[in-house]
Formats: sequence, C-alpha cells, structure tokens
Amino acid sequence: MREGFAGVKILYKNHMICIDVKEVDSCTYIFYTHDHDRHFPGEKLLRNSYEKIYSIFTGNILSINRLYEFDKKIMIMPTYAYSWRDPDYHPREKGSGFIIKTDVTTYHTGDSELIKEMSMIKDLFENIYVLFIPIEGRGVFTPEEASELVRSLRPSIVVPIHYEDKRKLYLFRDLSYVYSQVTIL
Amino acid sequence: MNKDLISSEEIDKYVSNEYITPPMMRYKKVSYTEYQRIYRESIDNYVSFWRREAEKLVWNKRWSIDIIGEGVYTRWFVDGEIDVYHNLIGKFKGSWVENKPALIWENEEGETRIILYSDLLKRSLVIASSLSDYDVKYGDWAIIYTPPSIEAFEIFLGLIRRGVAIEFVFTGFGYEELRKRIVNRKARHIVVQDGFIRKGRAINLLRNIAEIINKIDFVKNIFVIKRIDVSKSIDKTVLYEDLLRGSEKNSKPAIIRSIDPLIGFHSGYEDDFKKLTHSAGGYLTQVYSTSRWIGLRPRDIYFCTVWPGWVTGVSYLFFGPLMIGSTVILYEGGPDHPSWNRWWEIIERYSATIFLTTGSALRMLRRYTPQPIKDYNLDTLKAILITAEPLEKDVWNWVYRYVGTGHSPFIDSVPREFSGRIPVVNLYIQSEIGTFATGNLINYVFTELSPGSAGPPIPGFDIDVYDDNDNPVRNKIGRLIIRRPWPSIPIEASEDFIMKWSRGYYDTGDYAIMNERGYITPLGRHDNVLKISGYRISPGSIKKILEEYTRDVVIERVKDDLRFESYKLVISKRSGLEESFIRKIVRERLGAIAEPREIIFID
Repeated sequence: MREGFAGVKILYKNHMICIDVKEVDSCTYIFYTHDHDRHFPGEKLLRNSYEKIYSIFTGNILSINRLYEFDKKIMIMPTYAYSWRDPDYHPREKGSGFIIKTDVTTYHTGDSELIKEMSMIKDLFENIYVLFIPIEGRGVFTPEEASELVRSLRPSIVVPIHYEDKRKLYLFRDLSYVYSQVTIL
Repeated sequence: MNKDLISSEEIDKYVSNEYITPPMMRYKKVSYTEYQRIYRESIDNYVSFWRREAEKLVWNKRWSIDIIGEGVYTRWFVDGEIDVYHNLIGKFKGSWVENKPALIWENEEGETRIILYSDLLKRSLVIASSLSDYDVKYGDWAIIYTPPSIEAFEIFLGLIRRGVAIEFVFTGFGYEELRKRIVNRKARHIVVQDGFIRKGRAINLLRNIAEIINKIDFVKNIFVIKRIDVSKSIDKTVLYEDLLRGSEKNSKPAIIRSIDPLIGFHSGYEDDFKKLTHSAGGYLTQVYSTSRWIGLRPRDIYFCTVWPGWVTGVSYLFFGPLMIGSTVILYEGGPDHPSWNRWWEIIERYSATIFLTTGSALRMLRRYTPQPIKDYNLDTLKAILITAEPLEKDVWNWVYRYVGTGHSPFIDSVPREFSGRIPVVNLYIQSEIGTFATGNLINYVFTELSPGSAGPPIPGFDIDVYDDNDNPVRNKIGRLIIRRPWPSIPIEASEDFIMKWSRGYYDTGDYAIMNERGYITPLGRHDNVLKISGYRISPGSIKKILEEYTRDVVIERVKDDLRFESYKLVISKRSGLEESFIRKIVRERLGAIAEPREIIFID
C-alpha cells in the first residue's frame, strides 16, 4: 500500500486479490471501488486485463447490494458521502465497497462516509478479519467516523488507508486500538 | 565481587532519593501505608495469599494440601492436577478473545504475519494430534531453540497439550551450551528454526544441532521450522509443515500433577550453567498473578524484546501474556537494523500498549536515538517495563522523559518539556524465582517510582537485604535475600541452589540496597557470576571450554558502560593461542554473548 492511496493486494491460496491497484500484473482478481485517479489507473492501462476486473463501472459489471458467489463470496457494498461540500464528489451508485469472504472475511469500504447500510454487515457476516478503511475525511470517513465503524464491526485487524495527514492516522489509531488491532502498513 | 569495591560514585549512579508519580498513574497509585498493609498481610499469611492466587487458575483436581516441607524442600499445591494448555489458551475457546490477534510477528525486512487466538487454538490442536504420531508424550522433555516466531508458539502449545516439560535455549548460545542442556534434560525432542536474519546476516541454527546431534542417541525427533532455507539434512527431522497436516483427533489434553516439571532453565553459577526446574502449579500461579499485576490485560498489545531462553522471555512471552489473552508482538531481528528506530517503529505501527525490554538495550538506544524518537508517535504506550539488571538513574530518566512523555498532554504532562507521562517500571527477576519479585505494580499496588530502583517487593515475596551477620540493613549495601519459599520454588536444582538456602533463607547472590521504604536497588552479583546485558553468564563454563586448549586462563570481571559487566581474559603467551581463535571458539561453542571484551596475553 502506498501512502495516500487506497490500493491493497491480498494473497489467498496462490490467488492475488487486488483492490484499487494501479499495477495489475500479479493480480488474479482486480476490484475497483470507483474511477477516481488514486484508485483507478484508467481504461487504457487495463486494456489487457478486462476479464479479471470486477466493478460497478468497468470490466465484469457488478451491482450494488448484491452477493456474488464464484470461488469466494463477494458482497458489493454501497458507498457515498452525504456531508461533504461537493455532493458530486462521492455520489450514490458511483462507487462501491467490497466484502470478500474466503476462509476469512475482508472488507474494503471504498471511498465512503459512515452510512447506515454498513450497520447491516454484522448480520450478514459473522466476523470481519481485516477491515481496510479510509480515514482522511473530506468525502470519506473522518478518523472519528472510521473509529465508530471499528467499534461497531469489531474487526480482528483494521488497516487505515487513504490518508496523508499523519495526525489523522494517530487520532484514528488512538480512538480504535482498544477495539481492534490497528495495523499501520 | 566484594561490596567494599563498589565505590560511592558507583552507588550514586543507581540509588535515588527522588520519588515520582507519572501523570498517568496519579489516580491509580496507592499510598505507601496502604502498600505496606497489603504487603505485610501477604507475608504474614503467605500461604493463604498464594492459595487465593492459585485458585484463579482452572484446576482439574483441586489440591488439598497447600504446602509441605520447608525451605528449599517446600512443595506447593502438591496433590492438585491441572491442564496447562487450558490455562494457557484453551480457556478462550468460544470467548471474545478468540477473534483478536494472539501474535503479531515481524522480521527485519518488515514482513508481517498476524495470527488470531482462534487460529492459534486450531493449529496447536492439530500439532498436538500430530505429535502423538511421533511418540511425544507426558513425561518427556523438549528443548526449544528458536527465535520468537509464530511457529515456535504453535509447537510449544502442541507440546504443552501433550504434557511435555520444556526448556527454551537462547539462540545466542553456541552448540556446547545447547548440547549441555539437551543432555542434562535427556530431551527426547528438539524444536529448532533452521535460522533467522539478524542485523541483515543469516544466523544458522541448524548447524549447531548438526554439530552435536550424532553424539546424542536419546533424541527421538527434531522438529524443524524452515525460515532461511538452510540446506542441511539431519536424521530424525520432522518439518513443521508435516505437523500441520492432519486433524485434531488425537489432541486429548494432558492433565498433569501440580508438582510435575513444566519449565526448565540453566542458570549461571560460578563453575557452570546448571539446571533448575519449575513445577506446573506453582509456576503457573506466579506467572499468571504477576503478569496481571505488571499491567497486562486482554486488550493490551504487548511488545517484549527479551528472547526465549531467558526467564523473562519465557515467563512473560510464552506464558503470561497468553494466559491473559493479550496480543503479543514478536520481532525476529536486531534492534538496530536497518536503524536504531526499529522498536519505535514497531510500537507505533501496532499500537503497542506495554513495552518490556532490558536495561542494556535502553543504554544502547539512548546512545543512538535521542532525537528520532520524536518522529514516532508512541502515545498508545501505557507502561514501559525494564528488567534483568541494575538500572542507572540517568537511563531511567532518559526513558521516562524521552520515550515516556509522548505527544499528547495527559493531566499535567507537557510533551514539549519532556516531563514524563507513563510509568517506567524496573523489575527484579531471577530464573530461580521464575517471575518478577520486586517492582511497582501497575494493576495492583502502585506506589511512587524511584528512578533506578527495582521498587518494593511484590506482595507474596518475603524479600529483604541482609548484612554479613544476617541482620536486615537499610541504605547500605547488603545481600538480597528471600526469607520464605515462593510457589515456583525449583523442584529440581543443583547443590549450589540448595547451598544458597544454608542460612535458613535464600540468598539470591545479588548485592542490593534497600531504603527505609523497602525500595530495592540491585547492584550486581556478590559471587563471581558475570551479569552481561542482564544475563547471568557462568565464568566456569567459559573456563571449561578454554581449558581444553590451555590451562592458564584467568577471567577478570570488568564494568561495561553498555552491558553492565563484561570480562577480561588473561591468557598465557605459552598457550600459543591467537586472539581471533579464542574469540571464535567462545562465540561458536558458548555464544556471542559470552565473548570477552578484551584478551590480554602475559608471559
């Protein structure tokens, strides 16, 4: 993961599951949450990888709020920002988060604020193993909101992503570490 | 060492008249009178005190006799029976602890692995079941010769489940010391990691096994954890991966007697390292209680830099934190690679709440990292624990102010003024005792801290400082002694340990000063045993190795600014030995920790 970015690669049984990555060569499955610059490398660069791509806007098209089952279960979660000054920055239906269930459950929230749909996750998935969550504010979770989701979901491990201001990282860590293992990559 | 040789300047480095209450402990500390009342009661009724503590473990059969015998021959909770595995992690099955990380492992390259308690439970049961196929059973001894790794924990728990007694051997020891421990224990099983990377260099541990194993015929299995891909094949090898194949079907827990051996050490005496063995019931009682008292709770993220093989790296790495359900950070590497900021980085990255390290490590960190600490945010730390050796006031102050202040103000701590915020607690420990025996207890009776001091005695340990005529002495150098037996008193030990009880109390072998409040400041050994980087090194074992090459060897203890003590080797020129050769044999056979600071050749 690069500082300020939201991309992660998860190695599972020789399969590399990639979310919001720009270099896709080693990926078996590629998921994109939305098409903003720091998440999506652009159609041109992905020309040869379309069959591996899953998202709501390119590659294999997925629908929000649906559970897909191939060799793993994938739940497509909605994402949006409702309190940021620019309503078009992260609007509804233009982005998604992913809950990927293999032997363990991983949740990448995508670029979102804390939204009511996330409260249902606990009923659908028993235990979140790793939560990847943006913490910068300005159209995504603030550190306080991110910590609120951590308190609610109690993932075993939480990895803060998509931040540049280290003060926000420490604020999130200090609010969350009693509820989950905060791991700074 | 003669106490008259300790100068007043030297004493002044360690003994303080100052008392400090860290802001974080302001509303948690108890008054000195309150401490004294609790301590007095625990000593006057020490049997019922430890009985109440033992009752906090889960027993399969409760004991009917608290204590029999006296002095060195005391045995505790004799007819009790206990499932050690259950008390370690089995009890967390089905609880909230299952979903939290048990171990976080990181190496020098920054590679990270995290294992939850649920996975540790599953894997250790599969391993226990596999171990039954290799004839691993109750009554056996196993030697574990690995750095702190997740795999080592899994096999350790598998062995515990099978009822095996264990001795950890520090990976800094060479093949001669390893051989001694295998032979003295008649160990049927060895767990070894093929090697590890330290300070960027590959350390080959399998080579040490290969050097000695042909001369030992009673070893039945060598369980190998592969890490650095050493191409060495040794008979009787079973790979860690093979232990993970299979199911939990034969993982029935061993229920052992309270007085059965559970853990062993080889402690440094004048003429050699000698074995001592702790019993299951007494050891677990002490470890569980003291681990809670020093500050560990299930939500804590605990970083201990002491490696297994030394008592702290066993009691407070493999046992205590797991019994509590804390998350343990394991770091496989040196503190200075690629930079001296490595430990601060780890504390920040994993939100460590309790940091346990040694005085020697802090002396080195102080030398190399005064400024860069400011670049790290260590605000999650709630305590820094220091162990293993006398601690200078200056070092304590440096840790308290530079590492312990943090970035966020807390009550009246002001970060920019380095006024200190969290407790920096020095604790006294010895292999013979099995656990910490003195120190300010964050979760029990926390009194003001005194820089450099190892605090007052922990309740339940009847500790004093005696002069040469066996009278308690205050504010003067004396011998640190323990009047009454503790639950984890060794059930098997050398004649040397028995002799240390000859005057009706246990003489720890350490000099110390106790002040009028009962605060203890250890000052080093009063026998010839060397205290190097917190470890008791037997001068006799060094001599034995060198005497195979020459009879004219003298070991002279010297003070060392970083390691507390070291030694000078005086060797006759007639021996014809070269310095590089001497250093090599000491390093390879005994271990790098025992290398002399200086070698002098005389006519």
